[in-house]
Amino acid sequence: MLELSAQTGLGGLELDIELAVPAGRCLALAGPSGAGKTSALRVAAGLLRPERGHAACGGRVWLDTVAGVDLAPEERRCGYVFQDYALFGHLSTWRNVAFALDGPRAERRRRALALLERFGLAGRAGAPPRELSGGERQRVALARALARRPAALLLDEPLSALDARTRAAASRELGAVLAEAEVPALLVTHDFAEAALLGDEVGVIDAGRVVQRGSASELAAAPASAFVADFTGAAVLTGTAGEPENGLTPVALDGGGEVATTDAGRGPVAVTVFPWEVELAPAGSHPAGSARNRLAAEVLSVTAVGNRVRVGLATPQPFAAELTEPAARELGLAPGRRVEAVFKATATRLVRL
Amino acid sequence: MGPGTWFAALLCLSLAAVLIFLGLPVAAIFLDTSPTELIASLGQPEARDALMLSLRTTAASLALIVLVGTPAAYLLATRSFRGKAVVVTLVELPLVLPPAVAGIALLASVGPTGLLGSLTGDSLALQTAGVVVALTFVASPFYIRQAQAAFAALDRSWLDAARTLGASEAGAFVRVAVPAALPGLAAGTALALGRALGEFGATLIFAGSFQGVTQTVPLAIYARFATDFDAALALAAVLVLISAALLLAVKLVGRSSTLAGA
Amino acid sequence: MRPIAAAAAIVLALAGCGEDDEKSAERPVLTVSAAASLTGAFEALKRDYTAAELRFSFAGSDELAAQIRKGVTPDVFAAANTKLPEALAKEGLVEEPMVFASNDLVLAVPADGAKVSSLDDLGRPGVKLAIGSESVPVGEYTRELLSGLGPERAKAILANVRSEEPDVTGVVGKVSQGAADAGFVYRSDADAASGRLRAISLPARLDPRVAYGAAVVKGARRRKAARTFIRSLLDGQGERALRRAGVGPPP
Repeated sequence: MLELSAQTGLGGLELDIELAVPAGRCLALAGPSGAGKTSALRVAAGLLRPERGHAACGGRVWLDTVAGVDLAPEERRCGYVFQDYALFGHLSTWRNVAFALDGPRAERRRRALALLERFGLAGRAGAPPRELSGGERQRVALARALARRPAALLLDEPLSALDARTRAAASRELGAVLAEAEVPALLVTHDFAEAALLGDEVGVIDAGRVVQRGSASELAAAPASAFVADFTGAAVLTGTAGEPENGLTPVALDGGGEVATTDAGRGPVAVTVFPWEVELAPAGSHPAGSARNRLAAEVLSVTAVGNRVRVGLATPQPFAAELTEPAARELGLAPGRRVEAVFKATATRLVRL
Repeated sequence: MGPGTWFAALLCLSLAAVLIFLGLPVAAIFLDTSPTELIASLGQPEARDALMLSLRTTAASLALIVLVGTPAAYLLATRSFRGKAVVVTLVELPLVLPPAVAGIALLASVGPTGLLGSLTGDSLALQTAGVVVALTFVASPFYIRQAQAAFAALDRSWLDAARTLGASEAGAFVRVAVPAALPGLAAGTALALGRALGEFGATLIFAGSFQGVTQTVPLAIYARFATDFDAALALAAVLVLISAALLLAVKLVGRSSTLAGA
Repeated sequence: MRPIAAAAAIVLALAGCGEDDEKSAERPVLTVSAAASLTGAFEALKRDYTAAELRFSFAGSDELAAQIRKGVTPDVFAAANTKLPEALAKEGLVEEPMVFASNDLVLAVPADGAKVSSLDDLGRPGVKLAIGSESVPVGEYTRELLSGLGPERAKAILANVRSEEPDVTGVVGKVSQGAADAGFVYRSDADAASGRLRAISLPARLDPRVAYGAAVVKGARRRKAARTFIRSLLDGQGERALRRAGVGPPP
C-alpha cells in the first residue's frame, strides 16, 4: 500500500492531496498541465518536500513532516519513470538498467540482460540511448525502474513522449507490466483516455487537488463537476475492425454490438466518441438517417452537470451521453430505462491497438 | 558572383587571416631553429631543470584545481543562494587581473609580510610551492568556469533519476554528473593547463626566478632571450610541442567519454 | 559592401597618420629603451622635458640590447653599463655611446626587522638573497663585487641566492616584500623605495664602478632629437632629473 498526503503552497506550487494505492493496483492521476500531478509524484519520490505531508509504503514511513522524518530519495525504494525517460547518455543500455544494482559486474549484467530480454531489447543491450527509438527508450526506462524491485512505481506521463503509432503498442505493454507488478503504481498523465486505459482507478486532479476519484467509467458517467465532465471527454470502446465497405469500417465491439466508423483501421482497435455527440432515443424507435450508429443501452445514471446532463449507459462496455436538460426531461430519463444511443459514423475516431 | 558566395568568401578570408596571424609566430619558432640546435639546447641542465620544474608544478596545480574546483563548480551550477553573483565574480577575478597584479596580490596575502605571513612564513615565496600557488591562482578560473557551464548544462532529471535509483547525492555526482559533463571538464582542463604552463608574471613576482626551484620554462626563456636567443627559441619550441601534445591528450579524453563500457 | 569598404579605408588612413611626422609635429616623439634603474628619473623627466615627447620602455639592459639586435629600433638606448652600448656599437647597431651617469651598488635590507646588517651576515646559513641574473648589469656588478671578496666568502654568499631577477626592480620587490632577506640594488633604487628599504653601503675598495652609457640607435627616425636628449642627460633637464632621483654624475 502506498499512502501519500501532501499540502504545500510554496512558490505557486499548490498541492493538497491525500491518496492511497493498494499493492498491485494502479492509480492514474489525470489533469491538465500545471495541475500538480508531477509534484505529487516528486513528493512521493522524495524529490520535493511539501510544507506538510506524510508518505509511507509497505508500512515503511518515507515522509512525516510532523515527526521530522524525510527519507532521501535513494533510501525510498521507488521505481520512477521520467517523462523524457532521463536515460544516462554516457552509459550503454544495459548499464543504465544495471545502475541501481549491486554486486559483481557479471551478476549485474546478467540481471540487466534478463530484464531487457523481457522487454524485447536484449539485442540493444550495448547500444547508447541516443541510438534507440522513442519506444525502445521508454521500455529501457521502465526496465531500469523495475531493476531494483521497487516498493512502488511512479510514472510521469509514460506515453506522452511517444508518437501516436508507438503509443498504442507501448500502452498495451505498460498495462501488462503494471498488471504483473505486485506493487502499488501511481501514474500521472494529461490524457484521460490514457488514464482510463492504464489505471485501475482514475483521479482527476485540478489546481493541486483531486476533485474526483473512481473508475474511468464512473468519472465519465457521473462527473462531479463541469471540469471533470470536460476533462473526461470521450468514451472508449474496444473492438476489432473488419473489411471496409462503402467508405465505412465496421468494428465488432468486445462484448457485443457493432459500430461503423469513417476512420480506417484493421484488427484490434479502440473507438472513441464524445458524449455530447451521442443522441438518445427511446428504445425501439428507428429514426431515419444514414451512417448512424445505434447501440441498445440501459440507463445507469443521470447526473446534472451545470446545465447539462451526463447519462451513464450500460452498453456491454461503459458508455456515456450528454444532453441538454430539456432534452433529458423530454425523454423521461431514469436509471433502468431502455434507450438507444445514436451517433454518426463521422463522430467516431479510431485508435489502433 | 551573387551575394551568397561573396559572404562565404568573406568567412574564408576571416579564418585565413586568423590562422596566419596565430600560426606565423608559432611557425617562426620552429623555422628559426634547427632540430640539432633544439636537441642540443635541451641537453643543457638549465633547460632540463626548467622543463621538469614546469611539468611538476603544472601537474601539481592542475591536480589541485581539478580536485577542489570540480565540486566547487558543481555547487555553483546546481544551487542558487544569496550572493551567488558575487561569489562567481570573485572566482572569475583572476581572469581579468594582469599576471603582475596577481603576483603582487599573492605577495600581499601569503607572502612573508602579507596578511597570512605569520602562517606561511618562508614556505611559499621563492619556493617551488610558491610557483604552484601562483599557477593555481591564475589558472583555476579557466577550469571552474568551464566546469560550471558543463554541470549547468546537464539534464537535471538525470540527477533526479540517479537518486531514485539508489545513488546518494555524492553518488549521483560521481556516477552521473562528472561522466556526463566530462567533455566540458576536459575543455576546462585544457584551458587551465595552457594557462599554467605559460604563466610568467605572477610566478616571477611571487616566487622569483631560480634554476631548479622556481625558474619554469617561460622564465628560463626570458632569462636566455638576452644572452642566447637561439637557446631561448629552442626552449620555446619545446614548450609549444609539449603544450600541443597535452592539449591534444586532454581533448581526446573528452571526446572518448561519450560511451563508457559497452 | 561599399559603406564597409569606405569605413575601412578611413580607419586605415587615420591609423597611418601619427604624430610620427617629423615635418609636421611641433614636438617629436622620442622612443627610449632605458635600464630599469632609470625608471624613477625618467618618468619624472617625461613631465619636464620640453624638446620632445618621451616614450619609454624599461627593462633589464640586456633584454633591451637583445631586442635591438633583433631589429627593434628605439631612438635612444640607455643602459646601466657601458659594456652593452659598446658591444652594440661594435656590431654597428648604435652610434658611439656616451657615459652619462653613475650609481652605487648597495646592499638593501628591509627597513624593519632585517636579519642582515652587513656583508658578513650574507654568508650565514638560512639567509635568503636576491640578486640580478648573470646578464643584467646589476647582476654583473654584484658578481664583480662578490669575486672581490675572495672565493670562499663568494661561494658562501652565492649559496644563499634564492632568486636571480631579470632586472633590478625585481630585486627591490623581493626585498621590500620580505620574500628575500637582502639584495644588491643601486642606491637610487633603495632611496626610491618609499622607506621600505635600508641601504647598507659597501666598502669603497669593493664597490664596482657603475657607469651608465647611452647611444643613439642607428636607423632611429629622430637622430637629432635623440642626440639632444642624450646631451641633456649630461647638462640640462635630463641631468637635473637624474640628480633628483639620486643617480650620480658620470664618473
